[in-house]
Amino acid sequence: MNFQGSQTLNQPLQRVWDALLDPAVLQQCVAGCDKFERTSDTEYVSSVKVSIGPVSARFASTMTLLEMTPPSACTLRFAGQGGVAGFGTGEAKVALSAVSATETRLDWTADAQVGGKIAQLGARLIDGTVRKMSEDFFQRFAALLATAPADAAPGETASVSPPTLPTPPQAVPDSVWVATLLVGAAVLLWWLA
Amino acid sequence: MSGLDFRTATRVADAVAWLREDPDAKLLAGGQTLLAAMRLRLAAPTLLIDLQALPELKGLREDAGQLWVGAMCTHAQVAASPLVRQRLPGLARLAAGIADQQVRNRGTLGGSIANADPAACWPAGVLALGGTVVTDRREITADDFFQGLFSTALEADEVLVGVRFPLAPRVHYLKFEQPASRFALTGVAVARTADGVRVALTGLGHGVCRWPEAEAALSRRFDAQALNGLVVDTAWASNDLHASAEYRAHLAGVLTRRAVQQHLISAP
Repeated sequence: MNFQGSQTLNQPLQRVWDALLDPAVLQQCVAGCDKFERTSDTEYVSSVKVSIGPVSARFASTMTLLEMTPPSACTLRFAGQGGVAGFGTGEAKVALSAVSATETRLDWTADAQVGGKIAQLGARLIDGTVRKMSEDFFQRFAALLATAPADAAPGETASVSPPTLPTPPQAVPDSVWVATLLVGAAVLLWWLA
Repeated sequence: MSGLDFRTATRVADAVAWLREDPDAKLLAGGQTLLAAMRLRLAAPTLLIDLQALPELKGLREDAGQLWVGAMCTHAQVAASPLVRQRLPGLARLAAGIADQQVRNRGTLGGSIANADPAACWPAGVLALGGTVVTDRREITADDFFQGLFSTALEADEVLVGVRFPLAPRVHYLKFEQPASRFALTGVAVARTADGVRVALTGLGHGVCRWPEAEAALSRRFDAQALNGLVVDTAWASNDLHASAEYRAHLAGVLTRRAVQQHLISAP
């Protein structure tokens, strides 16, 4: 399954990139995320409780950074395990481009494979769920960036990070989260078809 | 399913209190979605609160020029009600067309709209008719109640009591069924109300919604030709193995025209 989306954010490119690499930011942007840990330079584990309609399940996910081209692109591999609900694996790419000094366009694509009970039971809700969850993520993300304004001038380079949010050197970009959630949601909802 | 508790509420206030006590509690109406999810281990509530014994949630009557349908009325009860068949026949037909007889005998109006499945039939009827959703603490217009995929204005501890429908409008609901589930691959409800025409679309994939362009055109001139040139935006529709977004959007236009024609044929 292929998913994709794009979003224009009213923030400079570097600031968006930094925020996307900040696990503290990401944890706040993902509803139900209660754990986000770095296990090595390029690997992370997380736990997210997803509730959609009648279905709720906890997803344990691992993410691996494959390629990073700061501040504009990265590729990641993810695997999510939702217990009896099923599992999903795949790869996601995210690309940032500056629309102007204060606007950034974010494009993401994800290629995912789903298995287990969800894959067995149907697909009619996946598309809608993917959209809902990615919209929800970006709403929170945009709101968080807006409430933590950067004191750096637009156009400043690499080392600028949001003042109120510590930025570790590397973290999992949101595309991973979105992709993981999408897969999780897909898995969860497939049974309803 | 270890640790599942089951309680029957005999007062609405009890159900609300139990919901507040246990964040993993679920209200059980007809169980046609929840029990299937539990059987598949896709939902594991710690407490089921049975709503069957609440008299406030039953009842189907005419009340001050409006139709009151209690949240626990089953689809079959609405379909068979002489009152609904006489005063709002389009709603009785909608209820009669949901799923199969077994589901209609157990599934409820309240359960359907509180779940807000994006392909369910009831949300289209409630939204097109401009119904009023009544809960234990407030009244919510249909336009405010439905908020997209499996999302409603209901709070976590809120209990849906019933829906009030205006009796003056006439409504026709048509759906193209997904043959296995009989959910709407796309469904359209067209209602003629005192304030103009209301068109509600279900099954597109992102939750029930209105089609403002069609409403405006039909409010000016109520015939199928008024819809010429109008198309549903494919961005409203989802792609899956059952149908493409283009197919769903196209179906919405076709069904809207047919619903308008049914209005014209059956008009007194």
